Amino acid sequence: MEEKKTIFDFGNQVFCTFGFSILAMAVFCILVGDEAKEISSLFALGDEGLSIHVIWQFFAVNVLIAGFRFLFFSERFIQGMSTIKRTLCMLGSVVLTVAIFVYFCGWFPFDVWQAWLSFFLSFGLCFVISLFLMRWKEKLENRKMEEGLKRAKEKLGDVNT
Amino acid sequence: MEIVIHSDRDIEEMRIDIYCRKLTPELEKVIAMLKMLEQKLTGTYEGETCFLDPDKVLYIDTTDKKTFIYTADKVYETALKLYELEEELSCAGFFRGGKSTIINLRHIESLKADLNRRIQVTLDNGEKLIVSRQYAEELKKRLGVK
Repeated sequence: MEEKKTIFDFGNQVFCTFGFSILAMAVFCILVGDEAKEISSLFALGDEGLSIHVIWQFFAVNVLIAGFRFLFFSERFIQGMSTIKRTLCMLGSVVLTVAIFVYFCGWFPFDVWQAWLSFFLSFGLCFVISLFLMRWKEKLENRKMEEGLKRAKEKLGDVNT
Repeated sequence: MEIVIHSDRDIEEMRIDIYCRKLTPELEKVIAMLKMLEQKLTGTYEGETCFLDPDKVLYIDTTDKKTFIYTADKVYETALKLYELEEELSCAGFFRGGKSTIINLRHIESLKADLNRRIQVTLDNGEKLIVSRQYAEELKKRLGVK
């Protein structure tokens, strides 16, 4: 049985991602803010920081992404779906959300393919790195658990003999 | 109900006799609890009461307020509640896998980290169970991983 998720779990997820994305954007503002202010609404204030509109837009994106995560990665809503299908659905939803925000909020020119290529390259790179780290952590954890299980079984055997 | 206790220094093995008109669920529960004292489980299979060795049990779960004991080939029903079994069986290698499951550590073939910090347990009969996030932390502590 799956434990019940609360609004606090959801909030925790939203603010965690939101915090990291704002921090990353703040760094990009300092690095490329002035050069990018003519072509992207994200950097409208140049290297002075992010506008309140952009902050709210990022917050909305993070709320949606946390919602997709809850939708695709909990047995409560979708049962019996494989991890690969869940991940693909999640990826598709994130890309679609970002595309909608790019179009309506002018994050970068919608009809410039180079901008999209850069987006997919950076998004893909982040995805591959996080997937690799996740798999590595999972393998390490599985190995530790197997070792722990072996020890626990030996200990139980000793008690009974 | 009348309870009569005979105390005699010459008695070598304790004996309990139950006189009743018929076996009621309450009485079955009393018998199950008494058997637990000697690390035996009591379960009914096709109307027959059987005594089970905890080592042979794969896992125990609750469905529709009924508790079932799963062995490799049979499923027994028991009058005891899950928390009563958990208390008695924790020393025998059982742990909580969720609100409605307790699992025998001895019969776990492999453990795998699952989505949302849950753990997927594969038993030695190939059956797969999920340890919920809440109990996964306790299991990790028990295995010395955390």
